Amino acid sequence: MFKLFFIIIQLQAIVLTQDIDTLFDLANESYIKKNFLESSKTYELILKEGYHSTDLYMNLGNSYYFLEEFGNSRWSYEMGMKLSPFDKDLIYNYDKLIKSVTNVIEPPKNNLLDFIKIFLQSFSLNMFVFSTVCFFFIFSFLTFLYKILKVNFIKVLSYILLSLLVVNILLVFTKKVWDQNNKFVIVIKDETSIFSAPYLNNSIQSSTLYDGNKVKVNQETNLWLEISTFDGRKGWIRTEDIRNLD
Amino acid sequence: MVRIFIIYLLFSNIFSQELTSSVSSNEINLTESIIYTIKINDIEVNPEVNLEKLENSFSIIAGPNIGSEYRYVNGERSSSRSISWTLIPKKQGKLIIPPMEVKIGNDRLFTKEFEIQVSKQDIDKSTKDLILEVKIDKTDVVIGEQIVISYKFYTRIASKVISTEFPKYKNFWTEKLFDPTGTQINPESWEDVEIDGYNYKALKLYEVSIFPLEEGVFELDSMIMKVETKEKDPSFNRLFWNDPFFDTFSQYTSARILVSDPLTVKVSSLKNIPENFSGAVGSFNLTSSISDEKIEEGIPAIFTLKLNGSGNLKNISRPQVTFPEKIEVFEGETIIEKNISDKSSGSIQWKYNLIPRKSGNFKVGTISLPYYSPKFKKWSYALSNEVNFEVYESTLFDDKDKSLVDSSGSALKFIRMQPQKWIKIASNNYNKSILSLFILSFIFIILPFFKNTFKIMTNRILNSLDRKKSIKLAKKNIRNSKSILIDGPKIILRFFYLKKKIHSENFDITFIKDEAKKFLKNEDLIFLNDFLDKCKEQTFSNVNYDNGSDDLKIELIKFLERIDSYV
Repeated sequence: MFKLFFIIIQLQAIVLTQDIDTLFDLANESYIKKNFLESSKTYELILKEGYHSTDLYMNLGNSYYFLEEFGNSRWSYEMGMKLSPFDKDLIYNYDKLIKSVTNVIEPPKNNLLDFIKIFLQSFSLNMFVFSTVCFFFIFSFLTFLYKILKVNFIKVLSYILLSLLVVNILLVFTKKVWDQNNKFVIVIKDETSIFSAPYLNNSIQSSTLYDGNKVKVNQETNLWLEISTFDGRKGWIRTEDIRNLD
Repeated sequence: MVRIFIIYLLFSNIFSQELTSSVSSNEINLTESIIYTIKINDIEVNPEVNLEKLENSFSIIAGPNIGSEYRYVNGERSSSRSISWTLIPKKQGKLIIPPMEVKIGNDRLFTKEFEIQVSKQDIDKSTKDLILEVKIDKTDVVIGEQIVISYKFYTRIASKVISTEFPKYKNFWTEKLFDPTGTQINPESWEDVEIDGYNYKALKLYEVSIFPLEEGVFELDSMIMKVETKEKDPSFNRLFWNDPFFDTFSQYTSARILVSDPLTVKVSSLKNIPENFSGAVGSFNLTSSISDEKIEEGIPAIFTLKLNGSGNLKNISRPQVTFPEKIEVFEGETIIEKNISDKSSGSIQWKYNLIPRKSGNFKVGTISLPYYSPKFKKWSYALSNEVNFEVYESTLFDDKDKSLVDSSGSALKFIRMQPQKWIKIASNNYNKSILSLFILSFIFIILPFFKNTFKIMTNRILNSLDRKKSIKLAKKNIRNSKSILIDGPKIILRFFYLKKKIHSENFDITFIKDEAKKFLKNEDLIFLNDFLDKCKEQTFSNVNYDNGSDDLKIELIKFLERIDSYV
């Protein structure tokens, strides 16, 4: 009975993956025919189905680039770079896109910070927790073996594992704090106003952000985000004007 | 420009209104101003005056100035309000101030018409303390030709510039060459000059390049400048008051208005315009270059076309350039740089982003850019140099990628079409794995603390297994025995031992009988004793009693199966 159930689940997964592949092929066909609107919609459909890949983000970013939707294009490339931080083509296209963004504001380059950023952004918090639990499992198993077998080599190994476990726990906390303090969004509207308070009122409009700019989120409500830009401006923008990089 | 002036008065009732208007003078020259006054008696509502009709002939340099007058004659009170403006003529000749409509509540009153005779500016500079000079380098030009106009202020009395109204040049493209707005004017800014034997202080006010956009004859606006001066009061010109020490007492301050001479420019159209003319008028030369002479296939390079010279750089559109086939071209940025030393010359650079799609040697030929030379009054051509470059095969991308780039014609790097390894977004597998691993780890951690319990349990399990094993082993040994009467006691001893009823397998038959009393039923004990006695007899006799051994084996097996259920 269990075997039958397992087989059905496997079959369903295969059918679903085939559907996603078909969608991907359709989107690629539209792309080649330069029907970028159609291709972007189809790629988005795959994302909506809950699947993603570096290549999908690359193609989606390209489609949006040709549609001059630089915000969405940047979002796609950045999501792709989260999966493959060192993908040369993605980086090349991303750099090209950045040159097209109006009034783009980028933080200055810092190799060490960039490395830390890539390291922390490349793995989700779940992955960090998973690796910690793996270390904990190996450590506990080794401890158990030592209690039974009383072999010194196992004891040494378990101490090494304990150190790794502590480092990993610290990494989990670092990742958690990093995620909380480094939440970024991309502006996907041609122009969005920054307000000094979360109210739609022209008199408190302080400045403007353009499509494709990246801003840091300080706090958020359902309809508004408090953001700060890399040039030091602070204020509130509407959530409908941005796309989340989570 | 529409100027509506709303004047609020204190009261709202209308009694009776009488409107009079006047001008301070009917004959002035171009640099002089007049005061235009409208006076309304017994007005206590809000009047509105629209001076829009004046704008073609006059500039308003001050006003509206509002004055009130209250009179009591023989106990009767009367009041009047006057509004006045200071006007400067924009051109010479007979200028008209048309009847102006004055709205007072729902009533409409009209001023009378005035005729002002404006004569040319007095050119005898030597008699003047203040001069506003305008210089134009040419007045007969063609469309697009550069004209430089500069304004200079000369003074020989203490003066201070209060305000300046710079002219607006309609139908001309304007580039400021010198604009003092926002700069600090200090004593060093002034230069000493001598005009007709008089010493003046001179200050450059404004310099502008204008480029005509249309054919025709255009009258350029004058610059209007308001100056505050300190002059000597002639009434103090006696005795010791003439001493410089008492200058403070002998000077008075007055405001003066200076207007520059009007200018007329004749603009002719360009004739026999070449086919690929992009608007260049002046004197130019053209160069071209490429960012890298060896380019990798698919990697962008920048082709730059640079036009140097003097003329209407900002009015020149991007020239058409023919690039070799298999080179994708995207228009890049346009950079205009002005020469700091003369401000009339400079350069314009047009960038083209080239993406080669095929390897080989390529050439961008000479580019010809026609321009009109005002100096020689003829058409000339600026010719660029040839640019050669080599495109080598890409080492980064395979053929499939390249063909995709070709078909999409894009500047970005390729579409990717290979089969994907799809990743589930926000998968919960991690959570399950994390939980499972954590529980397992926890078990491993706490397990050593239950060592004794674990031992007991293990023993129990082992015992249970041994017990199950004892009957099987006994049956097997019985079947394999060649002499059951010799092997029987050992098999029974092992059976009881595995059943944990005795501590060792090495007891003798008597001991088994005694021990068996503790856990065997009577009938089974009788059978056991009988069997053991037979075995004992066999041990001490040379007679072989094993003739009915198969029956004995069966009986022994039955016995053991029977006692296995309760022992």
